[in-house]
Amino acid sequence: MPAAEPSAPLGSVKVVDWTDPAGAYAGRLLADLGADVVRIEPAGAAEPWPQERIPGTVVSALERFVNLNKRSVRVHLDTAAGRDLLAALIERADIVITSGDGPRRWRQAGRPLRRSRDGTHVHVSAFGEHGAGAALLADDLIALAAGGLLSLGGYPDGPPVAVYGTQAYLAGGINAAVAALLGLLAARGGQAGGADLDVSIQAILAGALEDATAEYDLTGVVRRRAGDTPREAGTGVFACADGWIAMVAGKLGTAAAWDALVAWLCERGVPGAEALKAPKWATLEHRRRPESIATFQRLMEAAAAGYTRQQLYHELQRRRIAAAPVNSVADLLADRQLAVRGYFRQVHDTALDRDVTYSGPPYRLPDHSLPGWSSAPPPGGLAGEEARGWLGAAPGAAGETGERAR
Amino acid sequence: MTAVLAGLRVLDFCWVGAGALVTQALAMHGAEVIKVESRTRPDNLRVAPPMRPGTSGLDASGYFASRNAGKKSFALNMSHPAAAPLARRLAQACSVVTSNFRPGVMERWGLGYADLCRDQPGLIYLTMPMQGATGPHRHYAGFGSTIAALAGLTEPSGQPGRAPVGTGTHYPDHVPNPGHALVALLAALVHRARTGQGGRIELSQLESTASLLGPAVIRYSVTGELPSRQGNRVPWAAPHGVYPCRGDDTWIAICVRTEAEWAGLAAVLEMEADPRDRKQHEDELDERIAARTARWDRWELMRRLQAAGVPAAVAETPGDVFDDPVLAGRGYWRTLHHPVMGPVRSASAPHLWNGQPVSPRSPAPLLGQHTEQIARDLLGLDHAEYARLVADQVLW
Repeated sequence: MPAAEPSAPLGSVKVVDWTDPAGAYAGRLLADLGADVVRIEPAGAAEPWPQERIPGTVVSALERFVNLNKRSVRVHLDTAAGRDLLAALIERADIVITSGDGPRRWRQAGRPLRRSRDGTHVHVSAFGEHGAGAALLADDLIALAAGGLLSLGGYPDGPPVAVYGTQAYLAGGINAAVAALLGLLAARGGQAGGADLDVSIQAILAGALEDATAEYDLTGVVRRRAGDTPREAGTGVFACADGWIAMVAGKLGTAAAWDALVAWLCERGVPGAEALKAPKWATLEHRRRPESIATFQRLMEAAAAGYTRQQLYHELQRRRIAAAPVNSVADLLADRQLAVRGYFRQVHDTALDRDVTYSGPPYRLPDHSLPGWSSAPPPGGLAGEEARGWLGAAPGAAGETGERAR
Repeated sequence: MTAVLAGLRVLDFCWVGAGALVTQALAMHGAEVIKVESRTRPDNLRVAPPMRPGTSGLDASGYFASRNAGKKSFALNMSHPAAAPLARRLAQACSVVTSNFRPGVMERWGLGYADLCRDQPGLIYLTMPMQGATGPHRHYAGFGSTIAALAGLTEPSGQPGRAPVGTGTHYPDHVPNPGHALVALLAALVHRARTGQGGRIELSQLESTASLLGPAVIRYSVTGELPSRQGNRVPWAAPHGVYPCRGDDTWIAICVRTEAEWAGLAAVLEMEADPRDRKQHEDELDERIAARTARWDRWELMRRLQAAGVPAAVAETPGDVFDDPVLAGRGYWRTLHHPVMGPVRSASAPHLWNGQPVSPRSPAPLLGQHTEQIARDLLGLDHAEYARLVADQVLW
């Protein structure tokens, strides 16, 4: 069970997490900051975690990731006692985070999803719960498509290609945590009546299309996916001796970075690199021409062919050029900066009965005390004790999960 | 409109990418965000396209406008020796200070946390260095796309046998990094409301992005298996892909997880619901599906598939999202009238609050638009002092 840390930023906050994969990361973020998060696991529900199942085990890596530092309780929603338990948990919660069909049916049955006086309820879904989107079906790919992010990924000669790793679901979780904390601040600031917050993943992504929406709004130009073809000389993904590097020395970079890059290409003696010193190459208009992009890519890859990703990374960064290796997850685990900062953590996972490597937290709060990390609860949830503890009730008091009634 | 953060004043040194979206979200929810910027070294986005044809200059960038709505602009030339003392005075009138410079820049101006917290124990101080304030790569430069590559997100994104492509955007700047920073900042506000204590938040943009690779890190640590580029395919559904529709470069995403969804797809596309293992025959099924979807209008096909119980959505372009009926029904796009750019359609928060959108209250500021007001109200400068500091290119 996670250690209580009352002095943590969210040390006084109780959260009910009744989510499927679309919203589950929200509770993880709040739990890391000290909230007491209890996860509702409806007994007999369909397997909600097919994503990233770990071969040879019964668990999903996504499930282990998003449920770290939570408690869980198995609730029998087909019994009155189970429903009463869930209602009691919701009544005690400062924040209730939901996603998926179960909470929707609960609400349709007229049951509240938050404490009426001052509770915050956040629901996450692909299209939002208000209006025409409520009935639409989705998974991560569908949400990426609806939010426009899918259209910008992939190669110009094929279909749009989704980004790896259920990013739409994780985006839903992050923004649900934001919404939950805004609701909590309102309640603690004295806004009466509580808050229902309806998070749409489509809306998150439609607001995350870089300058492409502004480009359409102001010029009518629809940005298309560029894939492995750079949009501008100086920026893009370039092949080197053992893979690729990503680099930005164009529009968003500085004039100094572009000059340093040209100087490096010239130093390397790349034939034709001297031509990049012409003033026209310093203009965005010239660097965006297809022939400029092709010329630069040829020169860059000629120089890069003699370097590994790591060599090129440090060589270009020494010259203050924003470049980075295109890392695999194994490369990420070997990154020196992250190692020096002690980023990765080992957690003993009770379901796998072994130590597992976790990515570190997304931020550091050196002036706050944060709880240590503890294993995600077993998939499927625990019987009554966890709920009784969370409710602060004596054993056998409010905490029947409904199992006896079955 | 809900103004949960009304009364919160933020001194905002963030520029360019992720940081600006954090403070824009604060402004949307009622915070007074004072963006410190300067003509001598303008925010890169102020000179970046897109711009409406016929407009130009430091106040015409749609890129800048899309992440600075609702803020105030205070023009302060930090390279002038008289500027830092003014900034320190301004900080005393604020309870949150945000920045995303390289480590050491704020400290050189006497605006480090140690400098400011002496007078303000409740100060919340957000920094967003690229790779953190410590470590051998703390001074390395980066942008969203290079951070995505470094964090391991780009490499598994793409088609098998082809170069990795990532999202095609500076994704970490738009989703994980501003989002995570907001979570930490709001949690710090909750804590301060309870205890009076503030503190530092350091968001390394690399660490924030790498945290989203958590599931892959877990799987790798248990099995030694690395994710690989699989296009749009996933192990837990088939077919699961993006298929052409009628028209130029128009696509629909379709996801089939269950037998019922498979039967629904087959019925709408008038094809046989092949009873074989779909995963094993995914190539063949994708070809058959694509041949049929290509005859359909993408919106009509989405409507029909959804009605048949099949998860499906048009792969909307950055133009389509403005016409999307679901987003429109949520009041997601709000037209703001910018003095240089004219009408600008701006995104609201991704949540409805008790059914209502939370939108930016005003367009992105002109550079220095609020300098005189802030100099008067928060620094107590009279008009003569203000005019002298402008003439000396301090308030500039």
